Amino acid sequence: MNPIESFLEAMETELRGNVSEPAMAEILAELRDHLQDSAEELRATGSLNPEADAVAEFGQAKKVGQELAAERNRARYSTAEKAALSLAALAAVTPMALDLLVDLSSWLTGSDFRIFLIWYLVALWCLALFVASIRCRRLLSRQIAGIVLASGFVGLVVGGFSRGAQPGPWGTQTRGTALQRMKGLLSERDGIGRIQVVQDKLQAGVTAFATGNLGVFRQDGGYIVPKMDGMRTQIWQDDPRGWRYRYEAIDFGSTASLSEAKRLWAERGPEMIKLTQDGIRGNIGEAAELRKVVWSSWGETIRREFPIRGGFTLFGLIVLVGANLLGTGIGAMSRRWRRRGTA
Amino acid sequence: MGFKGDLEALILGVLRTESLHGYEISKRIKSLSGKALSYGEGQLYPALHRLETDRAITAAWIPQEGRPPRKVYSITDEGHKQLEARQKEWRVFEQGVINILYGQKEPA
Repeated sequence: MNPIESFLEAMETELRGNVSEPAMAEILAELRDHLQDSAEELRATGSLNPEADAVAEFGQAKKVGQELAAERNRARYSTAEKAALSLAALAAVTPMALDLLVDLSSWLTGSDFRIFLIWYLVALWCLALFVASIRCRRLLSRQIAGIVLASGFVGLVVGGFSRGAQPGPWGTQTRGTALQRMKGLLSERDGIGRIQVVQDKLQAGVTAFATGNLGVFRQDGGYIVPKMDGMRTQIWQDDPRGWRYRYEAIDFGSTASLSEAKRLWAERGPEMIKLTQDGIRGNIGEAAELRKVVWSSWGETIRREFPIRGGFTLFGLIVLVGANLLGTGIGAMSRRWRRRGTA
Repeated sequence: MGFKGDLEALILGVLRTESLHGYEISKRIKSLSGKALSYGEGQLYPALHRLETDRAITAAWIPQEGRPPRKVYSITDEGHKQLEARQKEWRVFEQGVINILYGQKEPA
């Protein structure tokens, strides 16, 4: 092949995907002109291989191509890219606003529709990444979109855990959710119970995988996961299938450190159990199946109350990566189709 | 040669009086500098794109007789301003180098 054509082919490889098709065509046409002029002049001065010499004088296709691509990428963003990046930023910011909204509404109504919002967020993230992958022709733009989205995603997960681990109005929200769950179990025990067992196991498995339970030790029939500060009280049910988590009383949540919590448990354990049982009776009345009261950490409470967050981390990351890859693939294919159409 | 020039300033200087295509710009820089300033020709195009992005030059595809259209670059008003600024910078730089190389006394 003619050295000039080989050079241009190598240049095209460097530019493709980094600059738009029309811009690439212009660059290649301009470089062809330059190289042909240069070869003509070299031929006139007696060069034996003017095309090769012209290419040699020009420089390496890879280096020049990268510089040209970098220059093009420095140019202003297109409207489509701006839209895609804006959407990505919106998706990143939305969790914070929605999470606050959910807390407020759950606090007011006691209902837990968090799950719908999580799905909404997953859909929004996927859409944003998908659009960014297709519309952002520059790899850098796609990566920026990905980083922005990932930041928002991590913010939701981390924010969810840390926020839940603090005392205050969120504790009330947690109680509302737990109470609602408990009422459902009490009223439709048989129907929901079986589902609940499977759900518990799935959630426990996903949560353990995503968050990693570092240490569990039994204490008075219950267990403590020493991951976060503070204490919560759990109620367990003696079930034919085994001990099952039923309800988490939050009335005695504290911000004591784990060592402080252990000390309290050692000194006042029985008394605290009684106080907790009284508190639960005050909340939901007597329930025969509520037999066991144990202490657990805040972290455990949060993972039990919102186990979806742990699973969501893993699931969400898979979805985000998948959406990015899918969008990139479709974007590349559509560019190829357009090339064929214009060829 | 040990010293290297500012390629963008050189391009603006070459385009100051007439519009030229890439290869011609490269040739002018070589010939006007007595071949003292020679670049890998490939370096020219990223610099041209940079100047175009900065609106110091504009480009247009001009029809050629018996040949496909060719991309020709022209300096803009902004480019003239930039050239003027670089000329001043060059004077200062040049004087500084002269002072050092030829051992002139520091200004009082």
